[in-house]
Amino acid sequence: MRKIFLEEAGSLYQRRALRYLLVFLEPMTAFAIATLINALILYLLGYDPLEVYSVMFLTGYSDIHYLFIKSSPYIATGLAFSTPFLAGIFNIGGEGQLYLGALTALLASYVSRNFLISILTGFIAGALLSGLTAFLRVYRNVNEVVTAIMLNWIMYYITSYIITVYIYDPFAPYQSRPVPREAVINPDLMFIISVFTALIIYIVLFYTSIGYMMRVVGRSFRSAVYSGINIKRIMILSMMIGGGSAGLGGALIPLGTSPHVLDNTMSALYGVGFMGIGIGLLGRNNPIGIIIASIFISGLIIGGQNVERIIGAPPEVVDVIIGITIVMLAIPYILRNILAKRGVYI
Amino acid sequence: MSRRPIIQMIGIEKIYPDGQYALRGVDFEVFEGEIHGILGENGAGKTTLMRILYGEIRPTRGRIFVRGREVRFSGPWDAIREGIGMVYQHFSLIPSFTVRENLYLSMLSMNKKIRREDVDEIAREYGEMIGFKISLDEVVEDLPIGVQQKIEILKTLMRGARILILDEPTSVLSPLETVELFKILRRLKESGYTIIYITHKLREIKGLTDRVTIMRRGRVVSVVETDKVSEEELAKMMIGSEEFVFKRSEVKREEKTEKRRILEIRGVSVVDDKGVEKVREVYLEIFNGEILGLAGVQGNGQKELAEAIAGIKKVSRGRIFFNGLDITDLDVRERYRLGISYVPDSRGEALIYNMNLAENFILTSLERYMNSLKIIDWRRVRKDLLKAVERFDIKTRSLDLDVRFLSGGNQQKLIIAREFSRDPKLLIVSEPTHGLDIMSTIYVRDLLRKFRDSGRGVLLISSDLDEIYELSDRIAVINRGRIVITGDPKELPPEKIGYYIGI
Repeated sequence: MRKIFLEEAGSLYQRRALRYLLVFLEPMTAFAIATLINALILYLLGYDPLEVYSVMFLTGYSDIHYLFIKSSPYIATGLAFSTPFLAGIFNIGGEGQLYLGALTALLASYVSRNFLISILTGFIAGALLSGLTAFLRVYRNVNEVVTAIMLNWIMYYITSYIITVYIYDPFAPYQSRPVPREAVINPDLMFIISVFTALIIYIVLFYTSIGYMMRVVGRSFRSAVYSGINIKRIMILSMMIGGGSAGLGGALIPLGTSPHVLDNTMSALYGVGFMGIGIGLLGRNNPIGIIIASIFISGLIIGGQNVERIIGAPPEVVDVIIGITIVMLAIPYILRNILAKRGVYI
Repeated sequence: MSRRPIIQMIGIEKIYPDGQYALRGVDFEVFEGEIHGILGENGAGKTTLMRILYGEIRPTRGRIFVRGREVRFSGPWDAIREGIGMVYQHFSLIPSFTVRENLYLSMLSMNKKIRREDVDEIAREYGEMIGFKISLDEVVEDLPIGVQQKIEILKTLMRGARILILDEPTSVLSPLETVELFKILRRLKESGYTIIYITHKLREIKGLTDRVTIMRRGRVVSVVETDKVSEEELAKMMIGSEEFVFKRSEVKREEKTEKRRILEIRGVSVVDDKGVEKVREVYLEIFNGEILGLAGVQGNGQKELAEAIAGIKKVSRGRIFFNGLDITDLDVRERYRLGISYVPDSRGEALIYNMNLAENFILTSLERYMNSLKIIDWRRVRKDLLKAVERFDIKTRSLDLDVRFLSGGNQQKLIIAREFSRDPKLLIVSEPTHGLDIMSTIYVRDLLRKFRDSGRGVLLISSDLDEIYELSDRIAVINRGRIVITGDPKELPPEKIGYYIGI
């Protein structure tokens, strides 16, 4: 049907207007389909879909303040996936980079009592960790996905170990000592820092030579070789920007959200890095899109928590609903890629 | 020859979703047992029409009849069941498999019960029919391109094809291999097969086909019996008589005052990724104000030699001097900066298809468009690009269009525009007019001549002998990585060059 639309639209401008319209229509349709599927699942599980939805959407997006705070680390981990992705390298290690960023920021805050130094430490630690993954891929041909998954677990246990053995709070030994008061930041600042990072990465990607080279490497390896781009350096660099961003996201959580500690199961961090993959794809690997996707998904997560609390649905049900929504929203993007491989561009 | 149409396509239209017309209502008919040519320039719609017949893409409108019965193909497998087979320009064989494994695999996709032992018998049967013998234990990648193509034909026949579609089959072949291919096709015709032959080469149409359908811009211009028309008439129909103005620039060349050596290659060898020596001890010189034509069949080391000069491939032995400076150890960017420019044979290498014109325009000259903070000055890029688009007559709706939407000719013009605006001193250009229509070809060749006449050097790599003769001041022939002869075109007639290409 869409094909006929485009054919019959006479002028270029009409066609262009339709294409912009599609940008909105497409996710709307996908979202509507996801809602229908979710309603069916909820009904089969014995919940009233309307009730669940009203709680989810009315409460999820009602507190703008909380919504923005919640979305801040997701913006960072979304960037952590998408920046290297544009240069043709997968960063599945956002989770581990997030842990390391949070841990090192926490340690730095004890010493420096300054939030800027702490955040910077988190950024650098994340960048170095992802840089290791990229280095092994580029110079030793070790698959970056395998390395990243292993490092995720290594980071999980290292962080947990350091919290329980070295920096535990004597009054609550399952968690760390809190961030010194001087280094604590206003939750609103979390969002500002995340958005600022996204904007910087946007400028790097589209307005600097390094970003240009990253996109060339990601889109056509052969052209990158032909034009003499130092592919190895560019891949490592893109991965380090991504890892740094995840580390920054990790740093923001203990610094900005109360009770300003890390517990030994990392409950405040767990899954935020992985969610970045979905958010990156949902935001079409564009920093601005990632900001929007993060806010949208955060609303679903907040709403989902309220569904658990008010209606009593188990968290797994809420996860299924969020998962189906993300998959549905990603389908037009995937379809487009499949069609492009067959030589049809929409 | 029976006059019964075996294939009829009626009112075929194909419009791509982005609004581009590929076919605008084409009627096409092939008789059983004939060799039917489809002649047209690139972008005329020849390949699109045949991909529709083969079920690869679906027409927007139109009907297809095979043996008088209407068919609707949902994919190539349906076409294969109707006895239609396609021999691709780029072969679909698995390089690391043996011939037998490849044939077995392709038969298996049509008939799950086939046994490996049956393959030998069937292959021998069809091989005899077309006069082609091959040991089935050979590994495909070790075989010459011409042989691979024959295997591809054999494969198609073994799947039961009675109607063969060949898409520009000679573009990768040497003159001798082309002769052999034509022999096979004639034998197939004698055995009652129907052949559809796509090409833009007039000589092949005249030499091979019974009838020819001429296409231009998505329409059928004319259907004629081949022996009733001359090559000139075919050419006029193909490009449209109103466009048939051969303008060749008659730039007076000033006699070179002093012969200066721009490039000197001293005993260079290049080894490819698999450890095979592709270029063997090549000595070559290029002077200012000359085009050196490097002739040879594709795959004889031309690409590796060009990449060695551009710095993309490392040399295993020898040195390269550019204006007297030893550049052997410099990287690609440094060499580009010194004034070397390289236009590879594959446009997918020189262009990033899913980036726009502006982004492609700075690929090899990034340094010129960034400030000290490494920020790209897109406004200046666009200004220069706009000038280049006008000067080189690149047809595009916008500078923000992805280059995959440009026609092949305009893509090639964009590459040349980009490289020329860098003002290089040496241009290495490989198959510059491959796949271009006649007007673009004339234009590109003119540009190369003007470039030469401004006192700079060109290394022209081409497998098209006509092109080599039209442009070159000196000719060198490369064969299996060695330069086998160099000399003046006047003293080297085509027969002699052909001999050196083929030995």
